[in-house]
Amino acid sequence: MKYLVTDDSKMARKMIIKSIQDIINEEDEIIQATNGEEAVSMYKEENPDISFMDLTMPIMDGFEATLAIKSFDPDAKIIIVSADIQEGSMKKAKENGALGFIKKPINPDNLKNMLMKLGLL
Amino acid sequence: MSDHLTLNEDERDCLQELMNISYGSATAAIAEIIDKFATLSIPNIKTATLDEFKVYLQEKLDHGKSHYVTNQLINGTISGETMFVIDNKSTVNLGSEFDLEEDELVEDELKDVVLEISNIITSTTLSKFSELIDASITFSPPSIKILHSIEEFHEHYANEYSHIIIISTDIKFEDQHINGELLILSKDESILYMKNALNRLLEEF
Amino acid sequence: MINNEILFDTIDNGIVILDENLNIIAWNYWLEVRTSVNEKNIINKNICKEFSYINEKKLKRKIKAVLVTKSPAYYNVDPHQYFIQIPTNSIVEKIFKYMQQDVTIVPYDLEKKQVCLYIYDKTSLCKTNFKLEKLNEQLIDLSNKDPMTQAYNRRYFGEVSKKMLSLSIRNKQSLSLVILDIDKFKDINDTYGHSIGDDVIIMLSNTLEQSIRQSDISARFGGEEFVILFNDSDKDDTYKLADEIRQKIENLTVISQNENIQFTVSIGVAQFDEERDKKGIEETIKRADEALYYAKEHGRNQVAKSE
Repeated sequence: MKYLVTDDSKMARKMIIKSIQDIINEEDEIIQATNGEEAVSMYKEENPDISFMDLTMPIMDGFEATLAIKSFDPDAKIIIVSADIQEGSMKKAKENGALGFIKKPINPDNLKNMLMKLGLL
Repeated sequence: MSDHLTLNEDERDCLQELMNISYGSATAAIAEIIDKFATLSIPNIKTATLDEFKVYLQEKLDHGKSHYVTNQLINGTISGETMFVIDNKSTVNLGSEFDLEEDELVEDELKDVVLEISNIITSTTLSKFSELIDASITFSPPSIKILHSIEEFHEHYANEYSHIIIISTDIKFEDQHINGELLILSKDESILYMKNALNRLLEEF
Repeated sequence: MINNEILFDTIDNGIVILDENLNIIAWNYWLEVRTSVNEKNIINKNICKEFSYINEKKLKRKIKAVLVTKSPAYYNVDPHQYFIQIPTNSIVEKIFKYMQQDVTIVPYDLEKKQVCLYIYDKTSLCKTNFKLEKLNEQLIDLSNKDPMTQAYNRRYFGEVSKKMLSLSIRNKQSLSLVILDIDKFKDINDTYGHSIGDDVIIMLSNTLEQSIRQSDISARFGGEEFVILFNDSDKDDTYKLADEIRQKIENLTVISQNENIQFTVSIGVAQFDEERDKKGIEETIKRADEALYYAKEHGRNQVAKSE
């Protein structure tokens, strides 16, 4: 499995990666992007299975990146990971095509449950 | 100078992320309390020395607009104080978001609104932050001033604060732009505590 | 084991427990005593219905903030200065009609969505602050005003005249001043006594105050001597104004302790001259003083101009 982790903060990316340690296998690959624009181009190149996307990023934010990716890959599996936990943001993300929304700091159990419910595990 | 208190790049990145998370809780809280959808811009985090802080404040306050400034003391594992600075125009916009009527957009009511928003942002941001770094803190009731220029700012910060964290953000409520800044002045011992906590987290991950 | 009941009823501040709909869950003894409302009569009632002056929208919002942030919030009671109206009972030093209060709201039971309000009596603190403010005002007045006439004093005049001078130089306007002295004041004191003499000075001061414009300033310089600074006025205009004042005073009668006193003044006029008065307004005053002397020497009850 290939995972794409997008966040402008190195610390945040580390935290996300740590929280998916339980889920991933030895052979799985994790690629990282630092903003929405990079995420879109990396997605095109690498075609990851599951993407974790932050919302507030410079150059292109998570809402736009999700929309962009879904436009060329309607089956893209994108999970929003964000500190911005309002209903409005969650709604907007889902409208743009995100499959799920998890708030920071990530609780690994919550993440597992969400992925299981989405049939991704 | 106190080089041992400055943050390196990794520590800053870690602090930024923790502040993002903390600030996220704060905006969500505001939205829930006043029942309106709000977005926050990426909090811009700067660390400054006391002298740089004075210059920063001077530039901010001398632009001709008057500002509301609130002040709260923090005590506990992290100690120091916070300031929340918001200009007059943003305050009036904020008043509308708090559903104040036209005739209620007067100084006393606006001061109240600023005190409220300042308390909400300060207490959620800092509670969350201290939770993330395993610290415990309490707050004093906030006090408020209206300042027109830096001359009116008589605070004498002795050598208690050598480093100040400035978190600047725009809060957007659907159509209104409200720009407010949270400044965290922490005492030297607290900065050391924070550095250690940040490094612990960095190692953990 | 702590007996909460005892703490609740003996603590020296008000405690109210409310739910998010503003219904009263608890009301402590401190409040019972001061509002004459018993807890059993107010339980489950809506606090805004019982006390209609409380801003319902604001209170609801504050309570919500406490429940959401899980942190204390502070109910700002300005401008009423009270949350619950409690009349103050002191007869002495009654500055405030009602108890001045501070209110803190804290979470009580997050699941049941209940909060606890602590009401603190800060009347004493407010009284002290009020007195302090008044004292400060008095202090400022003391340093700027002459206690007997309440006219500005020489020191304050010195300060203000400097500022007015730089303004008039910058705006290229003329600045003039007059020195005014009561004629034969010693005789008035000797004939009628110092008390009446003082009343004459006070009357003169008030008359001058009423005769000048907003932009001018009048000050008591010495015993029976006054100085007036005229903004945007040259020596000829000022001469005319000074003479009007002289006439007014000539026609004045001071009634004091059953005596009717009439008096006159002599006045010296001078206009600030950048060339001549290089050291500033002090020199203009000197020249006005010389003109005053001339007026005194040539019959009194007249105005003389320094050319």
